[in-house]
Formats: sequence, C-alpha cells, structure tokens
Amino acid sequence: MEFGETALTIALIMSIYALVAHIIGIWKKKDELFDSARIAVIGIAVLLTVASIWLFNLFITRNFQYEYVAIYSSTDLPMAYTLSAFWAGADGSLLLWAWLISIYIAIIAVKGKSYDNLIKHAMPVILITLTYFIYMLLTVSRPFRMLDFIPADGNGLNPLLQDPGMFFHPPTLFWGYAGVIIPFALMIAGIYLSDDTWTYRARRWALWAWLGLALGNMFGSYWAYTVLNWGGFWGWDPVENASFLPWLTLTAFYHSTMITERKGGMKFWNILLILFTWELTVYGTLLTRSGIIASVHTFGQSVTAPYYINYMIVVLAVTLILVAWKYNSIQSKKVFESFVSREASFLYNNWIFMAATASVLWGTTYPLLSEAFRGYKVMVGPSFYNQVNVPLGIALLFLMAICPLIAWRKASVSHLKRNFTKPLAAAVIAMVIAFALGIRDFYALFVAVAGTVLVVSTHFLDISRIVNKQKKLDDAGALKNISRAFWNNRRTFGGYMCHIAILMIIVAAAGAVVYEQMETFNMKIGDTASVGHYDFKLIKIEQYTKNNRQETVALFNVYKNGEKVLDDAAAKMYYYARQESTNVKPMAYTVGIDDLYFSAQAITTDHVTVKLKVMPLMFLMWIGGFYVLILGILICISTVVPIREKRISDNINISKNIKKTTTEIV
Amino acid sequence: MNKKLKNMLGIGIVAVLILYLGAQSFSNALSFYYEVGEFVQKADSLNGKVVNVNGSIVKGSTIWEPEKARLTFKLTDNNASIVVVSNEGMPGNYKEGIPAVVTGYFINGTFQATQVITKCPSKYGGDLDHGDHNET
Repeated sequence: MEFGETALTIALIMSIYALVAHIIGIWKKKDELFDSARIAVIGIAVLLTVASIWLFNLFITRNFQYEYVAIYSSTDLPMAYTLSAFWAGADGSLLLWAWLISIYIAIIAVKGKSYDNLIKHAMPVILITLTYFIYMLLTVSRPFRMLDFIPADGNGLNPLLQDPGMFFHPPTLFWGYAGVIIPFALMIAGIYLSDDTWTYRARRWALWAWLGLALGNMFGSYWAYTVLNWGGFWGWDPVENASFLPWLTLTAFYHSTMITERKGGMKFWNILLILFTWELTVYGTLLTRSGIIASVHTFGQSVTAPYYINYMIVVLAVTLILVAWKYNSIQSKKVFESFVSREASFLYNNWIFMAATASVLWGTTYPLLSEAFRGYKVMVGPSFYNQVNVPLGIALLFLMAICPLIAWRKASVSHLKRNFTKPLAAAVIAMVIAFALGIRDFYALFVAVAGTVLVVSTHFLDISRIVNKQKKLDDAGALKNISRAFWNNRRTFGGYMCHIAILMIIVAAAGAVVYEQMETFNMKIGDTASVGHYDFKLIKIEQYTKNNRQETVALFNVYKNGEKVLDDAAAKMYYYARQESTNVKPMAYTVGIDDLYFSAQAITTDHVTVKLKVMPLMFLMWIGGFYVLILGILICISTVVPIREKRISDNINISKNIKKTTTEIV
Repeated sequence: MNKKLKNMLGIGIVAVLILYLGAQSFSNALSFYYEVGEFVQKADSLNGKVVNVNGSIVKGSTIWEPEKARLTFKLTDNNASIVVVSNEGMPGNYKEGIPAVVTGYFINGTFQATQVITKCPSKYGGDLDHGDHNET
C-alpha cells in the first residue's frame, strides 16, 4: 500500500478506536478507556502530520506519478508555490482540514486535567467528523492517488494562485474552519448533558477559530486587491462569501456569549449560532471545493459534494433532535429589561449580523436554487450585497459607538445625556469642520467622520473611566495606572482594539470607494498623465524572465505638486509559457494616505495602456485588518473567563458535576 | 398602546423596511445566465438588459488593440456564436479555446462586455472536479 494512504488507514483505525473507546467509556463509566483513547487521539495527529509531510515531500521531489502533484505543480514552478500547491485542490485542502482538527484535539488530549465530562462527550462528535474526513481522503478525495504512468511534467499551478497571498490565505482559513468544530462539539455535549457552561469552554476556541477566519478573509481580500485585475478588495464572489459567512455568525456568537456571562440566558440562541457557524463552514467547503457553484448540473459529476451535503443534513438533524429532546434545559430566563440597555445593544448587534448572514447566504444560494428548481441560471450582482450590507454596516458602526457607554439593564434618559453629550457634540463639530473643508459626500461625512469620532470618543471615555477606577484603587503614577488597568481589563481592551480595527476597515472602504479617482491612459515613453494630485511619468519599459514567467514592466516616476514621491513604480504583465497565459499583475503603492494603483492593460516596446487609480485611506484596511484586529483578538484569547455558579443558576436540569465552580480550561 | 408594544412595532417596521429594500435591490441585481445558443434565440427580446453568457473562446478569433485596451473575440457553444467586445483590458488567464463567462448587453449585433471571466480548468482540480471560479 502507498505510504501516505497507509498512514491515513492507520489514522482511520485509531480514530474509530478512539471513538468507540469514548462511547464505551461514557456508557460503562470506565475511566481507563479514556486514557487509551487520548493516546489514540495524539496518535491520529502524529499520523496525519506524517501524511501531510509526505505530501509536501511528494511536491518537493516533484513526484508526478501522484495525480494530485501532477495536476497542481510542474518542474518550472518555484519552490514556495510548489509547497502551497498542497492546498490548491480539493483533496489537499481536505487533508489540511483534517490535519488541523487532529492537532487541535491532540492539544486537548495532552492536557489531561481539562479532560472532564464535557470534553469526554464532545470528543466523539469531533472523532466522528474526523473519521468521516479520513474515510473521504481514502476513497473519494484521494491526494495520494497514483497514476499508472509517470507524466514527464505536471500541469502547473494556475498563475493566479502563484502569489504570496495564496501561501497564507487557505491555511489561515482552514485554521479557522478546523477550529469551529470544537465549539460545535462542546455545544452538542452541552445540550446532551444539559450543561450550558459549554459557552464558556468554547469561548477561547471560538476566538481562535475567529482569528483564523479573520486572517483568512483579510489575506483573501489582499490577494484580490493585488492579484485580480479590478482594483477592488471585496467582490461578493460566492467563494469570498463562503469564507465570510461563518465569520459573521461566529462574531455574533462571541457577542451573544457576553450577555450569557453577564445575565445568563441566550441558551437557544447560542446553540443556533454555533450550529449555523459549523454548517456554514461545511457549506463553504462544499461551495468552493466541489464545483457546485459552476452549475448544479455538474453536481452529478462532483464526487465529494454529496458527502458534504449528507454530513450537513446529519449535523442539522442530530442537533435538532437533541434540542427537542432537551428542550426544557434550554429554556432561558428573561434577560432583557429594556430596549435601551447594554444587553439590548448586544442583541441588536446579533440581529444585524444575522441579517447580514441571511442576505449573503441568500445571494450566494439563490442561483443554485433557481437552477435546481426553476430550471434557469441567474447571477446575483454585487449591488444587492452592497445595498443590503452597507446600511447594516452603518447601523453596526453606530451600535459600536454606543455600546461602551450604555448602562446594563436599563439606560435612563439622564444616563444617556450624561454619557453621550460629549461624544455627540464632538461628532457634530467634526462634521462641521469636515463640511467646511469641502467634504460633501454622505458616507464620508456621516460614516467616516461622524462615525469615527463617535466610536473613538466613546471608547476613549470608557478606557479613561477604567484607568480612573484603577487610580482610585491604587494610584501608582499615570503610566503604571494605565498598564495595570490594561492588564486587569485585557479582555475589554482587546475587544475595543477589534472595534477600532473594524472601524478602520469601514473607513478605508468608504474612503476608497467614495474618493477613488481612476483613468485609463495610452502613453508612450516620456509621456505624463495626471490623476488627482498626482502626475505619472512613463520612464521606461523593460522585459525579463523571472522564475517560470516572463515579466513586462512599465516603470513610472510619480510626482505630487511637482515633487517626486515615487521612483520606478511598476505596472506589470506576466506571461506564463506553460499555461500560454498573459496576466496583469496590478501593483499598489502607498504614498501618504493614498494608494496608487497601477494596472497595465497592454504593454508594447514603447507604449503602455494603463489604468491608474488613486485610492485614499486603503492603508487603514491592511493596518486595521492585519495588525490591530489580530492583536486585539490575541489579547482577548489571553484572558480566561471564570465560570460563575450564580450566573448558571437558572438551569433547570443542570447536572451535578458542573455545579462546582470551574474555569474554562479547555 | 404600552411601551413594549410600541418598541416591538418600531422594530417590526424597521425589519419590514429592510426586507422590502432587500427584495427590491435583489431583483435589480439579478441577471440571467445563458449558454450562447439560448442567448442568440433570446437576444432581440432582451432589449439591452445586462445578462451573462457562457461559452468557449473561438480559436483564432481574438483581436487585441492594446492602444484602446479593446479586446474582441468570438464566443461559441457549438450551436451558435456571438462577437464579444470588451473595453476593460485583458482579463486574467485569457486564452483562446477555454471557457469564459461574459457579462454585458447586446447592441448592434455585438455583445458589449463589462466583464469577462475566464474559467480556469486547473483552478480547483483540473480533471478531478469542475470548479471554475476566478477568485480565491
């Protein structure tokens, strides 16, 4: 038997063993069985690591007898992209997904102390899924399938995927996809045991998955910006939507759990959110990895699609049956006393996220439904997504501005006046100044200027309150007070950083869309073209071979108000001989607050046809999305939220074993 | 009317409004998707409506005018063919003989494309499966 498939087969056997051992262990209450099951779980991770390293090795040694290697790489493919070809196709992606899940559960298995009743009941859910995935890797989605001949060379990787963005985008996305299963499994175990502390236990894993999904979406967006030749960062393509949907529901879940912590309740809602997140994760894989988007008529030809669909149906059915069975223990007490309160703002936040999810899901799925049931194919354009989601985004922005200062339980009129007069006044003043400076656009004035000032000022006010509290408690000088306040309230600070990051992304999108200037020019060497405040002078045109492609490059010097701001800025076109394919390589340069975007349409020996764009504020999107957001999430992950008994006291059938105070140590 | 009812009514009105706007923009954003043969039969009745047409780029039919960034080619599905003109420059992965989806409208006997998406057979699995998207 082939080496990779041997490793997978042993992993499959161990996975089945671990599953059976868990079930019998729970049933017969035999603790020693869990010890051996934990060793088996670690064994699965080792074996899937071996299989994955083996696949990397097959790519590195360019072993084209393996069909997967032959389809996605070639002798002239640079080594970095040869490695990233691992996840270029459906089979490798599934292996990556299974591998990451196995590593996560091995981490849980290694930490024996946290292997309590909830985990013991959650593990079978993950093991069933993992067994199913490994079975698929051995039958219908085989990365180690061998050809009965050895091709002289492989097909090579799609030129669009030969980009550093593709090195990071799929792994980060699958890190998130793999992470989502743990909250899902904890939820199933929680319902079964009538133990609603699963939300606490799931919190850090949900954040970890959220971090992966956030990074995956950001890398995808950056790749679209710097590789696809349309100068945008988000096109509402079904494939983009597929990775965005679970991110939306997971964001809603994280906010919803904060009400649960504070007030109890939201039990059914939390269950729904995590069910949606896991289903949408599998749905995303179905959309992107089975070819179903092209046409539902190719469905019959797609081998893996029925496997994903069957899995989704089983997940839905099992969850609903469990919910019906344990209906009494899922009942929550009344949480909301007023429609104007902190908890209500979390609820509105959840509604907005669910409305966004519903619209994106509908737009993505409608073409499939239309073709399947009405017989004709349609496409849903970006205008639908924008018209629904831009207002939702604006509502979210203002909610974000309100939430740090609004009172829990019920906000009185005097409370609202006291807290919001200053931020509102600041926002109005900022709008007047912006208007005087010539900003007239609605989005720029209300969203970018007023929204920013409101969000920043309310967050700043709350932070200053926290610092003042620290000062009253133990005044140790301004710097120490701030650092102590930060350390003791890492979760709040981390959350606020995420808010600021989202604000930066919204402002960048508004700036780039509203104030974008674009023109296409046909220029010869020595010509100068102007867009906005910038003059672009074509200096020279070069052609050279680099790795597996021929690059034709038009070089520009860029001036702003007569002063040179950029030397040798390039507009590039690549020609890949293997694929006989010419590709535009758009280039973006940040100058001050503007991004200068070069997209060559055609380059000859002395002429270039080039689309030049000036996009203000784009840099905020990458700084916000890659640095501030990630740092904020990491700070949140670093905190442990204690499970407080009094907050779970509204349980009806709470089982005894979780009545003790524990912490989320998963 | 008590306060709770008022609040619920307010939220209900906002929800209905959002649904109405969503439905409105959805119908505007919807565009039909045809094979070349189907499109040719219906072209006259479409009155310049934006549609998507799926076919293969005919070998030897490409005219590329770099100074205008204008691309002209024929699209076929073996039943019929249409002439497509795009002023949006050279689309990524453009190659004759491969499948493509063009978005645009029919005017004076030619298809004026606002977008040309080439389908890349190697994208999601070459001979293994049939994904064909131009993104991610």
